[in-house]
Amino acid sequence: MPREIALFGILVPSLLIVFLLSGVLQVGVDWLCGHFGVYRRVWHPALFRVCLLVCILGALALLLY
Amino acid sequence: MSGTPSPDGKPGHDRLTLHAVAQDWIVNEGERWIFVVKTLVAAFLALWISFLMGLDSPRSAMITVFIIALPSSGMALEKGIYRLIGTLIGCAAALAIVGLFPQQPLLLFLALAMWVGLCTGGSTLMRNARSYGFVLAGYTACMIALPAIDAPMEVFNLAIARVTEISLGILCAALINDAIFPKHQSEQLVKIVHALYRNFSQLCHDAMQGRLDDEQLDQLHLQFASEVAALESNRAAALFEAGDTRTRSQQIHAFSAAAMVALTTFHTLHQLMQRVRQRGDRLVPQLITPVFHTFSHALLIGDLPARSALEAATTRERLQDLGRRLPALVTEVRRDFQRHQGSGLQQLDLDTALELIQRFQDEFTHLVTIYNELPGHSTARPRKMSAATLSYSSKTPPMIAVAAGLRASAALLILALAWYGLNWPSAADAVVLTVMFCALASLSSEPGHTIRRMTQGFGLAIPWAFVCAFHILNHVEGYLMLTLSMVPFFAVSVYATTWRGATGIGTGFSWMFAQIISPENLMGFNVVNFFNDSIAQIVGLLLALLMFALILPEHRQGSRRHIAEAMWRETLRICVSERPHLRHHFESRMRDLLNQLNMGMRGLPDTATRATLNQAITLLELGHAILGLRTLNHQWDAAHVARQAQSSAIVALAAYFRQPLPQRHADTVRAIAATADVLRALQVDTGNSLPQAAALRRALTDLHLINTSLLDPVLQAGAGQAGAGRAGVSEGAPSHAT
Repeated sequence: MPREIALFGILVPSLLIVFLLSGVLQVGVDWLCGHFGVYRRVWHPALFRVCLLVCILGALALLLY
Repeated sequence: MSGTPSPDGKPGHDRLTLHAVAQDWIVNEGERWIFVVKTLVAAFLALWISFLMGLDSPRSAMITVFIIALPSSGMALEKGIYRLIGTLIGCAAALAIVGLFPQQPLLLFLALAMWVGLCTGGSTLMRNARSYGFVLAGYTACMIALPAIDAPMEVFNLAIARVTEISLGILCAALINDAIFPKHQSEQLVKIVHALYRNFSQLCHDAMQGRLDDEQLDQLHLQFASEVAALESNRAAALFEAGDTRTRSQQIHAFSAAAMVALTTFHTLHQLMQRVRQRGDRLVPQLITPVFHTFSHALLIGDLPARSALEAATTRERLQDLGRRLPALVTEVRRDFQRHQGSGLQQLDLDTALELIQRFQDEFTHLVTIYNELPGHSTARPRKMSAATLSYSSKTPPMIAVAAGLRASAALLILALAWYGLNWPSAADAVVLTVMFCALASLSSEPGHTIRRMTQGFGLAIPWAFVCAFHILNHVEGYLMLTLSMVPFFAVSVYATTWRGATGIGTGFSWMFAQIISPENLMGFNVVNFFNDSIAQIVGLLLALLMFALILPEHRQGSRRHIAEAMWRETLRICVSERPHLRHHFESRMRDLLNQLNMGMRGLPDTATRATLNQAITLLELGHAILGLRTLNHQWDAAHVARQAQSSAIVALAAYFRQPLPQRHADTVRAIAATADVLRALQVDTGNSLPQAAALRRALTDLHLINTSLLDPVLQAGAGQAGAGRAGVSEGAPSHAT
């Protein structure tokens, strides 16, 4: 995947797109976690959620580099 | 203070006191200082990253952190996300407007004014976290479009820079707020639910025991309305936290809806008994008293309401048990009544009261059931109604929103034109700030006060910023030193925001301090710019204050006249509207209006406000009775005499609510009496056996309720006044009702 993508003639870093995508994914995963009560079983739900976002972003970013 | 030895001088006791003092400090002050540390870490993290990335104006990222610094993580996340969305929309709007009218200042100002007006109006209408997004969308467009008038090619860069800085600030604040020392909104939510239930049960118990006077009850109504509103705003904020609030939204909505309905029924019952007592009737209250006693005992455990949702299981059992015994109790009361040989009016009062007690028992049991089920970890509980239909939404009377929009547009237009003629380099800042505060302060019930507080903060910041910039910062090198020299000032101001009275001052101070010091990679020390900027900011705020004083000053949040008008409109809607879930909609709208009334009030209500409050509560009762009558109406065929009679009563009521004049009031009372006569004649004809007889009896009790509420002096006194106030808007009312 290229490092920069042209959106309507503007060069945008692909990492930004990946970040937005992972944000969307995160919302879905977050909803599932809340729905199935995962957050009740972890020590620090908020930290868990941030780590989840980092993991998703990292995994997707590996596609770039 | 912590070192003082205890009176008995025992060292162990002394340690205990010390421990208690330390505990107290941790609970009160510790929380505050954690908040200060969190905010400062987030702010300087944002500043550091923007230095690293070489952003144009690192201060925006920092200011964002200070603005969205709120005590709980849910609230901070909510505000941050709406700020981001608002900024994105505002940037898009600015690009579109500048693209449409490049180098056409007049047209550009007009377009911007329209956009700002729309956004401000929208934000005033909503009055929740979303309204902050609207405000942002409005003034971000100004912020980007105004500097771009002379250099339209720059607008894209400005927009990108703004979005980058804001999102950086939000990301830092969200990360630090949510992940380090989080303070969960959901805990607050649980507390509010408990408080709501507890206060409600206590209220019912006390009122049934006859321990509440009217004034206390009014106060409790207002408190209840604000608790319902707080429940909703807390729920909305807790949605953004990691947790299962999302799956509970439905239950929470159902809880507040059930509480609202039950309170209205209870109040109607209570009011009925009060009116009977005032008439000098002793018989009916005397007969009802034992039922009230049994009921009030079922509400409490020991001498307190259920302290937790689990404990409510006991209350639920007691209430269900009461429900089983109630028919027997009712029969007994009726038998007693026949022994005393009461009059027809007394019979009607008694029927109505018993009917209401049964209804209240049903509704309260429903409420307790929901409350008891709240902590259960259900994942998918089927509910009949979806959350959307039961949700509570706040809505400002539209005229206030329109006025807010007009005010912001006018402010922008006047100032922008003045600026364009004035040629003062910093004036663009002043214009943006005025527009910003015209929008922000229209969310508050005391816009003048809000702006004055902010101005004080801004004013205080100027001398300190001067000291910091020209006596400290010019000696320092490196990021660490920069941080150290700014931290003391910010620490004090952020700490000030945690004090109730000083929130505005603290926020204003941090904002202004960051704004005029403007930390950058290449610091510029320019005294002329410094004073230009600071004067511009203060002038901007003062102009906003002027705008509020000059343009439609009476149209602010919590304005009593507008709330009264909206109340009558809602009651009219109850008579004519055909939409589903009318009852819940009516309940939540009236509660919202009561809450607005409460917001606009300082201290104890004055006579006029109390009149409006009493009117609102009486209209609530009326609305319920009318709705009951309308529901019964569907039981008859279209041509039935009863249906026609009832419809004519509802039409008369609608005419009265459309224009509450004394003449129409008299007409309505007559129409209702006529309907009651028709129904009573029918009742004699049908006898007592058919199912229709039950419907007739219910219709008669509803009519009786409508009649007593209509004759309430509150409504009669208010009718003339409201009629005079509404003469101008009465033509517009029907369009809102459909």
